[in-house]
Formats: sequence, C-alpha cells, structure tokens
Amino acid sequence: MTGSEYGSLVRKNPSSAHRALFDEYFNYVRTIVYNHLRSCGSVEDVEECISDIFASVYFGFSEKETSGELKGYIGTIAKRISIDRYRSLSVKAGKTVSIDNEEYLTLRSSEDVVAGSERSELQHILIDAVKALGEPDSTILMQKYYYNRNSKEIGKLLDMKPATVRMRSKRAAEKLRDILSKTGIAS
Amino acid sequence: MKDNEKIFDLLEHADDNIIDDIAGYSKDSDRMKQKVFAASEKKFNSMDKDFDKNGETTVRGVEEYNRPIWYRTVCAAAAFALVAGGVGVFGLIKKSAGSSSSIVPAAEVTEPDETEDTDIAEMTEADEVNEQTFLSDEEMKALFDEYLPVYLEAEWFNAADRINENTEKISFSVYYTEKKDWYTDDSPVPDGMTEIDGIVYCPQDFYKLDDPRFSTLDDIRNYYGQYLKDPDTILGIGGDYSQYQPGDVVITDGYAPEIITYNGDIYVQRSLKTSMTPDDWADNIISEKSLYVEEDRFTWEKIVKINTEYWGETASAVDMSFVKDEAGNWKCDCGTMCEERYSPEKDYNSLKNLMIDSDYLPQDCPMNVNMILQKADEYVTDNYGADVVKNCDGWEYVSVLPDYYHVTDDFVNNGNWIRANYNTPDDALLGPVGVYLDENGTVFGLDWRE
Repeated sequence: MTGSEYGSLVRKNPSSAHRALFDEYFNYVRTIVYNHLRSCGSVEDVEECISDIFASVYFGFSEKETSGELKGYIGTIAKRISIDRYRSLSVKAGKTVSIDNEEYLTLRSSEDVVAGSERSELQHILIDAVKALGEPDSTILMQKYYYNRNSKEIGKLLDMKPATVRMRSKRAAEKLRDILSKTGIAS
Repeated sequence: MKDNEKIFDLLEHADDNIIDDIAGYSKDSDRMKQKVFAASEKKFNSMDKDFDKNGETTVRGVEEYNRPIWYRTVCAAAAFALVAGGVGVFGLIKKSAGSSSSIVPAAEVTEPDETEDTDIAEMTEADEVNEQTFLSDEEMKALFDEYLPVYLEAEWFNAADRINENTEKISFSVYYTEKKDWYTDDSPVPDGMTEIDGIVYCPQDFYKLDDPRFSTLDDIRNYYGQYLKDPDTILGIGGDYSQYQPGDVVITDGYAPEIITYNGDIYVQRSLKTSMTPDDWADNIISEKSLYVEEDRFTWEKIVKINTEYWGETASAVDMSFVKDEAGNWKCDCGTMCEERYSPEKDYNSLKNLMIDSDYLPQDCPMNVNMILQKADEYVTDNYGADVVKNCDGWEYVSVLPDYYHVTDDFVNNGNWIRANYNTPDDALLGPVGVYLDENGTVFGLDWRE
C-alpha cells in the first residue's frame, strides 16, 4: 500500500483505512516487534507494542511526507518503538542492555561491524536452511522454536493434529540439524 | 531441543531483509489480531483527543462548540470497527446479562397540545387528525426494524463478503481531492496520481461484484430505492465505464464512484472485510425512541450497551432518519452510528437529541442537526453555488449571536441556533460564509463578509 492510497482511504473512512493498513502490515510489524521482544517480553508486551506502533502510524501519518510505499515508513516506526520497549523491559527485568548490543549503537567499532556482519550471514544461512525444509515443516519449526508455541497451538494454526505436529517437528529438526551441520552452525 | 531453540535465537534483532523472511512464518489467530487492532484504535482515539484538547479545538464563548463535519463519518466508522469487528465477526464482546427494552414516547411535538375549556367534540377531532398525520411509536419502530438491515447492507455494500479479491479487478483513476485542499504550494502530486485542472485523481481498484441479485446498476438502484431516498449517494453509484481503458483517468465532477459497470459486469471498490447485521443491535437495548417527529419525517434512534474487552462498557447508537416521498412511501434519507463509553449516570432515554450530537448540544435542546445542515446547504447552494457547499467546514451550537447580517427577523428567537461554516475561494479577501439557522432550519443571519 502506498501513502497516497492510504491517504485516499483515510479521507473516505478513517477507521476502514486503519483496518486496511493493519491487515496489510500486521504480520510485518508483529515480526519486527517479536524479533526484538522475544527474549524479554510477554505475549501481552508484544501485543501492546504492536498496538502502540499502529496507533503511532495512524496518528503521525502525513500524506505529504509519505506518498510512496508505506512499508519502509512503518518498519522504521516499528523498529524504533520496539527498541524503546526492549530497553524499558530489559531495565524492568534487571537485565543490562549492553551498549555494544548490535543495533543499539549508532557508531560501531570495526570489531562490532565484523561481528554484526557475521551474525547477519548466519541469519541468512539459518533462514535459508529453514526454507529448504519445505512446508509445512518450515512453519512448524519456526513456530516451535522461534515463536515458542507448543504442538497443540501449532496444530490449531495449521489445522493439524498435535501428534502430527510433534512427529513432523522432530523429523524436521533432525533434517535442519543435518543441513546446518554442513555449514558449521550446528554440530 | 534446547540446542534448536538456541539456534533460533540467532534470528533475534534480525536485519531488515531477514525480517521479511521471518514474517512469512508468522501465524496468528484472527482473535489475537482483532484484539490488537481494537487496542490500536483505542490508543489512536485517545491520542487524537489529546491532540484536539491541546491544540486544535477552539471554543469561542459560552456554550459554543466546534465540531468538524466529518465527525459523523469518523464516528460511524469507529462504531463500525468496534461493533462489527468485536461482535459481528470475532465475538470478542461478552454480552451483559439481562436486557431491557423500552420504547420512550415520541418527542413532545407529536403529543396533542394541552388545552383547557375545549369541548369533547373538538378534542376528538384533534386526536383523529393526530392519528391520521403522525405515526405512532410502534409504527415508527416497525419501519426502523424493517429498514435497518437494508440500510446496514447499503452502507457496507462493498464489504468483501460480496467480493472475491482473488478474481479479476480493474483500476481507474477517479476523483480524489482538489489540489488546493491538499497542497498549499506548487509541489507535484505523488507518483501514480494525476492532476488535471487543479483536481487530483487517484488510482482505485474495482473488484467484480459477486451478488446474484444484481446484474445492472439499475437493479441496485431499484432494490435499494424501495428503502432509501437517495441510493446513488449512500451507495456511491457511478456509471458505465466501458468506454474507458483500465488505468484511465475518469473525470467525475467532484464525485468518487464506488460502484460502476464495465463491459456488462458490476465492479465495486473494496471496503472493510467484515459484516454488520441487525443482530449486532438486537440485545441489551438501553434506549429506543423517536426524535424530531413531523408529519412527513422522523428519526429513530436505538442505543445498545455493549461490553467489550478493551473499551469496557459502551453505549452504541444507530439512528435512521425517515422522510415520506411524494407517493406517500417512507424512505430512509440518512443514518449514522456512534459509540461512547457507557455512563450509568447518564439517562440515555431522556436525551432530546441524537447521542451523536449530545456532546455538542445542551441536554434539553432538541435540534435536528441533520435537517438544519441540509437547510444550510440548500441556502448556500442557492446563494453561493454548489461548489461552496462542498466546502462545508463544520458547525457549532450558538446561544449568543454576534453582530450579523439579518436575512430575516422571522425566526425562533430562543437562544438555540446553529452556525454552519463554508469556505469559499474568496476567503482570504472576504472571510468564510457563516450561516445562522434556528431549530426549524430557517436561515436568519449571515456573518458579515468584509
């Protein structure tokens, strides 16, 4: 969706416009939020952060400034708010946020840049390996190990029996380990 | 298993290009999405209100209010999101136990005047006249109940229950806005949009309609015309676009069509993918009453209490205004919806105006704002032209009159007036057009224009 399209919808019916924007970018925003809060936030923290992001997008949107594709604009807001929330949740939990934590630095040392690029490369390798599993195994593994959902919850999402999810995830995990061991990530 | 979890930790704080890949595996229940959407709307509304309080709203004198004209749309939309999203589709709302339905007597105007020393014959005659000319509450309620499903269907005709978004769609650039309303300078319009003679046209997708009841625009007009005074406006009916090629700019004189035909098929713009039915307004009725009743028109408003997880208890109102056409048939000429936080102290039954207007009008001041604004539009059309009417900037309740130009001194001089504001191309030189109307819709004054 472009800013112009969204602006046009807002003029007709703001609430419908919000809904259309929400429907289109919910997954994207949710992924960014979860990606940042996965280790320190609860489900409620994630949901609250997502709603804060969309409220900020609805409120701060200016058609004049954002007429093109909205994804970058929304992604920037999502990232900023998620990082803020990560910081405050970490402080609340007594967890120290390292000042050299990869993306919370504006100026990185050359060592950090190398570490960052290595991490980025590893991320690519991992996601490619997950993709190589094929569906529904890729989704099952992502849901199980990245989103921390149990077999029953995954079964509900994918319309599968929990026992089938358990069986498939076990086999898929072994297959993934096999693929990754060839790259040196897993042994 | 632990090792696997650890491996997936690698994906935390991922780069932007990885986020897209991860997003492909994100799956959430509709219920969760709806819950988050509701929360985002709630936050947005409170941000918006705070913004209004801190910077946008101007209050000029005692009991004067300034409400943008688009409030009705926004309000209706908000109620739609709340009620349709919450109750109709996803069932988030927990219905409160115990419903009460009460029909409140019609507005005072329908009641026979109290007279003293009137003989029985005269009273009987007067009663008969009343019976003949005014509908009873039961009759008005019956009309409302019969027309509500049609009105709701027409308001959300484009809702995606009738559209298969995976099938063929076509796109035309249609009226969007006047450029001067959008940009104050000579900036070019954004990519994809077109400017012709100061009007901006925006590409819109039209989807093939999947509704066996209708094959032509006239089918739609004829069906909804049985119930609605002006189906073309409520439904946004355009014309036949077969003469154009998809992608063409279609000049429509300030009118953005939502329903068109193309090569013999009906196409509609997509709207919210949800539904709204009379069932959403069936339970927990806290007020149901007639307002502004006359021989040839009345308004019926129904307010229900809804318990939502995120808003808490709300009062949601739907109202429909009816007029009698020349053939003597009742038609709905407009309707609105709104919601507010439910207040146990507030007596919704005793409101003398629509709930949507209750924050802007005194409690005991029955003013049919829709009708009054309609009269203002007619006056401005006759005296300043139809283009000026398009630029209505809002209205406000006025209890103290400034020095104004007297159009007539024959008006209801009771301190209850509406001032409607219209922008014109001469505003910089002369100021906007301010029209003063009484509760009957009589235009009695105008702001001085320098």
